[in-house]
Amino acid sequence: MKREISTLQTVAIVINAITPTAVLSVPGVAIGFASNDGWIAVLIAAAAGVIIAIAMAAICRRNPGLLFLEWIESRLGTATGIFIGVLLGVYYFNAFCMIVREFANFIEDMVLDETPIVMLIVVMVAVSAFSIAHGIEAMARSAALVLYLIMIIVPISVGLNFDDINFKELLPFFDAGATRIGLATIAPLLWLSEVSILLIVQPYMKYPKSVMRASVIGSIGSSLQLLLVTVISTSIFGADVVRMMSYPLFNMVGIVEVGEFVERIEIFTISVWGMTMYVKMAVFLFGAVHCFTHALRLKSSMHVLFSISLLAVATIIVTWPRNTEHGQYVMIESVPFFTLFNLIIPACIAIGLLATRGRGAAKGEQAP
Amino acid sequence: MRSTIRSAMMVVLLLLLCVATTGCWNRIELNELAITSATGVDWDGQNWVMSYQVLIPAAISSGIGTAGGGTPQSPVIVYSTKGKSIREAMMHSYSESPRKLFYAHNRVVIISEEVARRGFNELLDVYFRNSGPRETVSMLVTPGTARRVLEQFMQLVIIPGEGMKDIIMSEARNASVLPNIPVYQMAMNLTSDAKSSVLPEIYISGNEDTSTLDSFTHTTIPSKLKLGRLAILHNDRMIGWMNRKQSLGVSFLRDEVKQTTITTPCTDEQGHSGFDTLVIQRSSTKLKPKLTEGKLSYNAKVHVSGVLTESDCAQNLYKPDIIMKMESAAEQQIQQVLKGAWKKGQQMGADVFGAAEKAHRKYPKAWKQWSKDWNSVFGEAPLEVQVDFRITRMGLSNKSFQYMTDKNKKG
Repeated sequence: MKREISTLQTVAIVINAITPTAVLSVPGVAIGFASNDGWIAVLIAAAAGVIIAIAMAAICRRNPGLLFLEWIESRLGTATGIFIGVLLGVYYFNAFCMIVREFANFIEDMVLDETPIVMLIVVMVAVSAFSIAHGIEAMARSAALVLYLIMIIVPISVGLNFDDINFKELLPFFDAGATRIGLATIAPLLWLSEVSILLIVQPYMKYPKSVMRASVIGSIGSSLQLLLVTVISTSIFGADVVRMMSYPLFNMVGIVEVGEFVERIEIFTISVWGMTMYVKMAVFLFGAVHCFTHALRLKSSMHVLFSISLLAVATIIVTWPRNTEHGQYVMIESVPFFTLFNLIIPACIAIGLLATRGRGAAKGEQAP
Repeated sequence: MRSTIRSAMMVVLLLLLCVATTGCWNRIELNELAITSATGVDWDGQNWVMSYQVLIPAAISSGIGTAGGGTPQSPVIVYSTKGKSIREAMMHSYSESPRKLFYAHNRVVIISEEVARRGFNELLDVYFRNSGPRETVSMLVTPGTARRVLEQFMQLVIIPGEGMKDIIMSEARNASVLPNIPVYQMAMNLTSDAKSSVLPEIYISGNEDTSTLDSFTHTTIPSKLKLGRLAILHNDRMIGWMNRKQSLGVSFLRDEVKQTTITTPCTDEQGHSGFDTLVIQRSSTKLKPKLTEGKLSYNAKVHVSGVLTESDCAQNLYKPDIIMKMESAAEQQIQQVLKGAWKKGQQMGADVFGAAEKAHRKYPKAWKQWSKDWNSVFGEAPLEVQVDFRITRMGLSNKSFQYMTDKNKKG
């Protein structure tokens, strides 16, 4: 294992592992539950997300420099290590399938409505696999590059939308009531809990001690993007119209008209966002390949990558024959799934690590 | 050597892939598209009648058409299709057009008054559900059929759809009597607390149609497309019209006045009556709800500044009291305009001023009660108007021409 990822690249991986699908789904769900208070729900989730990020980083910092699954095996025993490895492998595989389908649905809805979805899925999985085949460093470099592009495109988009923004649409505050705001908090919080990818990525960091910084900055960066999309889409269209939009982010950029020469610019945003989706797909495919390879002690990760990619294509096509079924899965059925794998299992791992603290101290682990 | 061959083969393979994946199944050539510049929506009692104003690129690119020379060839063609639903009607276009309708460059959608009175939720659904049509398209309503509006040529512009969009944009920017309402704005208004919206009227002024290029062989054309009144909608249906004066009042109350002209009566020392014309260059309206002993009322504070562009009275514009008199007359005029619009809105039972949102934001608890029957709460809410008008410049002349001629007569 080479330690080859910089802290900035780790931040980019965290942000790109969370935001691409989050900016697509979360504003609609949060505003759907809490109307014009949706942004408050995102803000609450952001605060909780930072706490989760700190907890994840604290777990990671106890790793003495082993791959995540090797470390778990050394602390919790081989059987537990294999069990956790397979569980996480299943999680990353399912999440990868869900993400690819979400992206394919979007491309089908917005751009290539006559192209068979199978074709889109095959291309997306192939590109992700190609990226993974070049190792985590290639993926990390792409993530950093895409992050720079986001930092350029987001201020431009906000600036061009400035005339259409009416912050009064956010008033009155707390109109939806605590229950609805609480319900609206669940979706952004679960997306922000995807910071758990650090468990897998941290051993590859050049400076593992800076994992706390990467985790917190990554979580805050993702929350800011989510908050921005939620606030601006509500301010431009009002909560009621956003509720009926499948992709408010792109409707937002789609209305930009500066004179008759700057219009229909959403293609730039879609292009950059598409790149972030590819990074996200690659991150989750990497997670699945990494977990299965190490948990099942397979010698060639390339073969695992090939088989998982093929299985993913079949799963993505067969599991959701209709887009609505996928939407239902993302919004409702995936809630316990994300909760289990991003919150409960890491919490169990933390408890296990605390319980076996003596074994770690003997091996010279760092204090959290 | 081997690696170079391998790299070269990879480059060739990638280039071949580029050829094979140009837009996948959605590949379409420009000459297979019928670019729509305007869409009309009519209702024949049972079916939607969709009309399309489609560009003829050859006529436009060769400079032939309404503005060019040579053999006259229309730059656009108009045709209609019918269907039980809007998309079904659009589908029937494949039976009569050799090209596929392309809506990304559609500039305006004209709906007939009949459709507006029937309700057009279906149309908004089509715009938000499909990626082709854009939500920035301007909506207009016409008293006759939408198709007839689409058939008219316009002076100065080759593509009538583009011209209609330009007219409404220019009107909203320079006169502020009628607003430009894009589709997304209409959806926002109809789903807002007040569930009311407005739409500008477009109509054919004149008895004959300007639908042939022969009309452009004269210096005047038999008819023109003109913007007129303001259609008022409530709960997705049109319920009536406001005249242009009331419409200006709506613009003031919605704080949408960018620039406009008002004409105020004046009387000079000799008792001669005339008019002063002022161009408003800046305007800001703050409409605030007020709750007094459980009764809701509104206060509109309007700050306006403008320039005197014409004076018909013998006035010495060096005197501050004369200017203050003019300002006061303009303030009264604006007050009347605002009150007239408010009264008409109350009579029609349509809060097109955004009063509901303001009440909701300021009094969220009381809103829960008011929202049950907002129209009657709004109908009884009085409006108090305070206008502050400042004439910042007198133009290039400090005395009216009338003043000079009167003085010469005396002299």
